[in-house]
Parts: sequence; C-alpha cells; structure tokens
Amino acid sequence: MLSINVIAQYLGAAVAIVNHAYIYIISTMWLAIAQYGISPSNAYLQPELSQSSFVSLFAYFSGIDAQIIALIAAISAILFLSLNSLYESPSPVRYVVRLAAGVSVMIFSFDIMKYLLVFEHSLYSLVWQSAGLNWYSLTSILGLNSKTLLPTSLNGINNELVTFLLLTSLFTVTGTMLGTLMIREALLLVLMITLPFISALFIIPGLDRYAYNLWVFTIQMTALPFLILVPIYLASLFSFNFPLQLALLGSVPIIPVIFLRERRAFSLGAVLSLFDISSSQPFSFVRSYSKPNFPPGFSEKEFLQGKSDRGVEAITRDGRVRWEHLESIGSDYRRFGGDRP
Amino acid sequence: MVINAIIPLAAIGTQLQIQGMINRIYELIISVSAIVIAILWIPIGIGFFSSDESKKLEAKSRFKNAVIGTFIYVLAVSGALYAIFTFIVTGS
Repeated sequence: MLSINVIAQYLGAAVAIVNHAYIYIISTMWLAIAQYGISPSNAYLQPELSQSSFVSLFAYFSGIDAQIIALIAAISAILFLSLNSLYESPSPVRYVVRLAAGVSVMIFSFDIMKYLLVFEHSLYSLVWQSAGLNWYSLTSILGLNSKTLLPTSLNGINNELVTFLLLTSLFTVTGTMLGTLMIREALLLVLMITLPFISALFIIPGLDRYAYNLWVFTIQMTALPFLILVPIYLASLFSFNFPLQLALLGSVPIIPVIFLRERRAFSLGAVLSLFDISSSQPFSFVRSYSKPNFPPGFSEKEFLQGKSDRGVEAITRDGRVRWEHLESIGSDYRRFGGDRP
Repeated sequence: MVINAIIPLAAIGTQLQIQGMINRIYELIISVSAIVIAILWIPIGIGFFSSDESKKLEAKSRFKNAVIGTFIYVLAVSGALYAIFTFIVTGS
C-alpha cells in the first residue's frame, strides 16, 4: 500500500514536470509574440508586402478589377436611369460624386493599404525603440525570475501546485495574446485582397455603409499595435503586483473586442431590413438617390401640394420620441425636428 | 469523376478562363442593358411631346439626368471610366 505521502510526492513530481514544460512553452510563446506579433516589421506586414507572390496575386485580381468596375458602374447607371424615368428625378451630382468616390477607392485600395502600413510602420518603430524595453524577454519586462518564470517576490515559495496555477494563468494570457495578434495579421492580409471588391458598394446608395464600416475596421486593425504596447509597457512598471501584470497582459485581447462593439463590420439585421417589404419604405436603399432627403413619411409631391404641416413621430431605440416636420420658406423648405420629452 | 466530366474543374483555374467567363457575362449584360436603357428613354420622350405644360417642364429636367446617366453608362461599358480614373491618379 502506498501512503498518502508517497502519492503526494509522485503527484508533486508530475506537476513539477508540467511546470518545467510550461516554462519553455511560455518563453517560446512570448518570443513568437514579440517576433511575429508586435515587432515593427511583422506587425506591419513588411515581409508579406515585399513577397513577390503576394504582390502578383494582387496583380492577378486587378486584371479582373477593370471589368468589374465597368460592370458595377453600368449597373448603377441603369439604376439611376430607371429612377429618373419611372420614379422621381434624382440628383445627378450626388450620383456622380458617389461613382467617383467608389471607383477611385476600388482602383487604389491596395495602394492606400500599402502606404497606410508603411506610414504606421515608421511611426510604430519610433515608439517601439523609444520605450527602451527588451520586448523579446518576458522575464525582463515583467521582472520575473528567469528560471521559474515567477515573480521575484515569490522566490521563497517552493510549492509546485502554486507555481502550476500561476504559470497556467501566464500561459492563458500569452496564448490569447498570440492568437489575437496573429488573427489581426491574417485579417489584414485577407482584407487587402478583398477590399477592392467590397469598395464597389460605395457606389450603391444604402449599401455604402458596409464598405465604409469595413474600411473603418481595417484602419482600426492597422492601429491596434499602438494600443497593445501600452498595457505591456504598463506591466513593465508594476513588477511588485503580479496579478495586475497578468490583468494588463490579459487586456490585450479585449482591445479589439471593444473596437468591434463600437462599429460592427457586418450586421445581418441591417442586410435583411433592406429586403423587408412590410416596412414603410421597402427597398429604401434604391430610393435614397432621390433629390432632397425627406424624412420618412414625406414625399416630394406631398410637400409640393402643401401637405407639409404634417409632422412625423418616431420612437428611437433608447425610448425617446423624435419628431420632424417640413416648413416651406420662400421657394425652399426647411426641416424642423427634435426630441419630444 | 462525373462532375469533372461535366465541368472540367481543372481547366477553370487559369486567369484566361476567368477572364473569358467575365467577358461573356459582360457581353450579356451589355446587350440586355442597352435594350433596358432604350425602354427607359420612352417615358421621357412621351413627357416631352405631351400637351400638359408641367409634364413638359418635368421632362426637361429628366432629359438632362438621362443624358448624364447614359453618358456614364457608355463610359463604363467602353472602359473609358476606368482609364480616366487610372490616368487621374497614376498619370499613365
């Protein structure tokens, strides 16, 4: 029969083995984070951008691009003409501006991305160097014991289980950091290839917000490393508080989540609402070519016939009552509106 | 494979094939849309020769927009739109 003490000894030995493995895994993961995730050249995709096969892949797409631009411009011209002939005469200036913006963004999206990354890379390198940290060494950043990867204040503690728990939390934090940073780079590369096609939506009114949101998302993703350096630098200052250091490193994967909550790149509900026949203005994205933007419930005809004294009320999402009405001033009209308590 | 016999999947890989497919779609859309545009001009013409004064006035502004729309359509289909925008920014 094995006594409790012997079992405890065996278990302790097993945990010690796991701890030793952890130390190597965490050190390697941090090296990967520093090298592939946050080092200036890799964070801003410099090796990928200079790789000839990636550039030629884009050249392959841009050959098709010219025809796709022609097709979309032709379709939008037909849409414009049908609104003009069948519905009410739209504003040609708005249409031409939309078309010009859409086509130029489509043609130059790769160049825009390239110069954006190069510009931010130079700025980021400056921040990276001036921080004066040894970014490649986790032990020097967090002030850890280089052999046990534990805070130096815990040097006296020799309990394998406590070590295991602390190393596990460090492993989780570095693992999620590595995942976030790598997914960011992968998303940027995918977006570089797909943005020229998605930018075509700029031409179609009502769908332009998807292209706009995706561009905003892309720019946020390129700016992410600046924000990631802040918690890492702060963690280097507070070597006396290990849980706080863990929390600071753990906040790194949360930063892009906050961004995504701010402005969702895709929203299924918004896409479905375009085709909602039961709403008061079905296919409203097509009608938004129409000249003055009358509030919902008004049409140009109604206004011209002097029915403009009718107001419109709508309840917003946060429960406020919003009202709007039109009043004619000379030959022009003005829109009045506000919150009703 | 049956699918391979019907659709030679391996052959679709090249850029030339994809370009060919897009060219075909392109031709089809041009031929259909030219007819659509011709039909869309009819209401403007009817308004133009109408005896109602207000309809005549309305047809004039619609005529201007229709000319702009048709012009952009012709530019797009002929490939001039792409060439103009490329020239404006890259200069070549």
